[in-house]
Amino acid sequence: MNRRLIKADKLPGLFIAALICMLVSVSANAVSLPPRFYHKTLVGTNFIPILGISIDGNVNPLDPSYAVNADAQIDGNLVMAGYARNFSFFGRSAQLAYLQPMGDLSIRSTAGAEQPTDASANGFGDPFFEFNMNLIGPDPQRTLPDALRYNPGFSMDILIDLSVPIGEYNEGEAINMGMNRVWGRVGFPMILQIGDVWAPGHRTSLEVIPAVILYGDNDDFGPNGDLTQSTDPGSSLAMHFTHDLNDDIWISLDYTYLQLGDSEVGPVESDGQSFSSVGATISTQITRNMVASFGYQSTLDDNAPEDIKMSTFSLNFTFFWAPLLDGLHRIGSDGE
Amino acid sequence: MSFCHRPVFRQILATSLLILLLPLSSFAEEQQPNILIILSDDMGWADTGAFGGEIETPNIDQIAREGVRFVNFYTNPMCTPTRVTLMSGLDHHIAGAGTMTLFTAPNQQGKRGYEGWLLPDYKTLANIMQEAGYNTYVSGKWDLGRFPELIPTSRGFDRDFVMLDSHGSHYDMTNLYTDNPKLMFTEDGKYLTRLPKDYYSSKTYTDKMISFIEEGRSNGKPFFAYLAYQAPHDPHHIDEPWRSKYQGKYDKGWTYFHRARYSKQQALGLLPENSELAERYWYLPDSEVLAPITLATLGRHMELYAAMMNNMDYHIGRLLEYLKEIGQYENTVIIFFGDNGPEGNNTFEAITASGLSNNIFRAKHWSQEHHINVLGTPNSYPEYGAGWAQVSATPFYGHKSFPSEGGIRNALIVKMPDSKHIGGTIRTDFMHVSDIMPTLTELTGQEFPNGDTSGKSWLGMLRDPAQHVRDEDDWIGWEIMGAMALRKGDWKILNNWPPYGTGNWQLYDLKSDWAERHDLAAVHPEILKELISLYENQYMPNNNIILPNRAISESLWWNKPLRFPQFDNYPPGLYRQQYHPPPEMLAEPKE
Repeated sequence: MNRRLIKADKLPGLFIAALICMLVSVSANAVSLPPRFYHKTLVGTNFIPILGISIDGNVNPLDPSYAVNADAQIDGNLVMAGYARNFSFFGRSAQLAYLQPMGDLSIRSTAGAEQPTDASANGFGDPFFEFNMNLIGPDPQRTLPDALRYNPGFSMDILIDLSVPIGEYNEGEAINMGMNRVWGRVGFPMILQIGDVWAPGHRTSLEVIPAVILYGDNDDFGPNGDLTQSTDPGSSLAMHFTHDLNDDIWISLDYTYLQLGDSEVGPVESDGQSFSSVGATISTQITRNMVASFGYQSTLDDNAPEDIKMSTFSLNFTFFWAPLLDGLHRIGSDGE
Repeated sequence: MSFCHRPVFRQILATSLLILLLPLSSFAEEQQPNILIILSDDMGWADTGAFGGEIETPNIDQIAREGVRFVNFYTNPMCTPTRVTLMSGLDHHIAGAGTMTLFTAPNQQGKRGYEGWLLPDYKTLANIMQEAGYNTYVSGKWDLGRFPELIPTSRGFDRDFVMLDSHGSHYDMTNLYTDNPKLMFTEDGKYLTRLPKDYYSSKTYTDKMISFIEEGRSNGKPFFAYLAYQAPHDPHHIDEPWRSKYQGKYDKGWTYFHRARYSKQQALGLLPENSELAERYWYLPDSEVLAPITLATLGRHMELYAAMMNNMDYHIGRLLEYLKEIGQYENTVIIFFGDNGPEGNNTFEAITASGLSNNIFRAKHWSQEHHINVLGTPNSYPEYGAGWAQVSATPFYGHKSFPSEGGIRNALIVKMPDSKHIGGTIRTDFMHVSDIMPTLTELTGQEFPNGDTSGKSWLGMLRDPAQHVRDEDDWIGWEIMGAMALRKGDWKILNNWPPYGTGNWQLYDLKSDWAERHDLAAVHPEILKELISLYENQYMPNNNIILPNRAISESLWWNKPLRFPQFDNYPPGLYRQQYHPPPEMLAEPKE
């Protein structure tokens, strides 16, 4: 067999390198999923994301209503782990993901007291499910050639998120891992490929993810657990400008805008706030089946006590596998 | 004061003379048609629609519909040799390009005829057209010398925009060699320090040619335009949207397209009766057995090649449209062909092999090859290899650098004003690139200026379809890097070095065996002997043939299995097995 053929035989191995950008990960910010989350990959690929998060601010990052705890300092060490799988759904590329928050949160409040008041929570948060399906864009990648030829061009998906309130929630606690109410999101992730080449070392994209956030009620809210927390629908806009620095490393500049819905806790009504945060992400492949990313994000214009403050460091590892690629690897046909 | 000195009379006289002379002047101009030679680079016989290809080439096909297709037209086996012959009308061993500079053997070094460029002693096609009163223009790949006395303005061209080198980037000045890293270009006799903005070979060469013709219209002369595209020579560089146009098209593999083109050629009436398709190279698998990922990867190379061909055709269309706009299309002789067979040698891989200094150059400038989506972009070097080259050469055997039919027979289309030929005609005249200069010297009423040539004018045949270019006794010989061939009438002898050939003379009857499948050397030893004698006693001594004392084939023995037994009792591929001496010659060591 000539050299060209041999090179071609090794391409499944090279393909894996192309796959690394298509990882699943999650963010501490519940309504701001990370860059390149909605890029498509081979149908049947499985992902296990494990995301370590260190947070600092005045809101509970697991609470999508972002109720501000004025004069409070919230710290948290969280892990989100889960599973995701790509598949074809009615002839379109789709993904189903399950993410499970866990870890601990602590709050120190100084409002109206001589001594700070401390509280903490730990355990499992509310599981989070996401279904995402492509509406406009490339066909599902059913074969290795499809995956190799993937160019997002302009693509648009629909996403449906649902958080199920079965996480740990204790009435009357200042902070909880579970939210004790359903919440969800409907969004339309869009990817615009910048430049005409989509391959490792050449990828640049602008991603825009507008979404509407919907909330159920928490009927066990407040110091005594006898208040109802209601929140009107809110909206979010996430944007990522991503770019490959070379074949193995890509970076992203991230921006999130959130307009919260008006809320009502018992008799108290308050107008929904809005805030923006900016950050950056860097990602690389560390083994044949694992990629890592590191990110930081912080809220803007957050000096007033009533402003939402949150900064997040995150370290993400995503393990992925596809039976076909693994088979090629086992028989030495992937060039690795 | 005489009557005729009166101003009014002088005006009337001058006007009358002008009226009388104007038709004469117009008639003279009409009788001198423009000449447009369009040369493609490393294009296979079967790569245009008119010759059975599936690649979209509507403008070339249009020329074929209005003109004549010639299915027995030959070039030389490689770039520089063909271009030297085109420009001089001489055998390339005489004119200065006995071999490609890259492959000059020790015994050829320093010998006249093996300089690697067109010797300045000889007049060029541009010289004779200039002397015939033509504006002379060239744009594209020159490949005939880089020194001042060798560049286009020194060789009879009024205007030029050319790449002097033989290959390199289609987007910029990147060359292939550590010691020669930058491609050289000239424009109107000056060596360029940089390229124009938005440079892309086919686009820019066409733009320049259109501008030359436009700017030269004011002097009223006809033009001789030589548009030598670098496409579709590797690297197969092509921009979007062309790059994606053929995506997935070639996933069926080379075996499918080899057969598909052959079938279409039969349907088009291009092939003789009882023709056969050439055997697939022994070192290539049937693409039917390849995995989808392999087919997609290999197919990507053909996608890019097809896109380059399609793009070149688009730019040819721009030029033809311009000629129509200025009313010169019908008055232009158009000659279209490729310079040699398709490139199936993966030459870039050899030139930049690991361990060579060029390998470092490649790592720095040509390393964008790790993903098929990158192929075709600047700094990638896609070459499509032997599998697709065989498809390009359908139905022939062989590719560039071999005097097998696939290396030397090319698709020729000629469209001539007021032709007596019915548009779309297919002719079988035995023709060669050396004929073009004698044709144009005859057309312009001049004598061939460069001494003896085996070239024959086509003019008689073009004007009278009943005539033929050559008769049964005319012959043409070829030699490149030690591979040899000669065709006389329908008989051809061929001596290709192993493993592509046997290293011995073979005999083929090209009346039907275009694919060179049936060696008739043992059946017709008398014909074989006659043709070998012609080759050795006439072609070689009269055309300065110096067979190389070191062939590139030597290296091929180490990376390709042999097709033919090297030793008795050993089939091909087993020539390196342990040798077993006769038992009676075995002995214990003496203590």
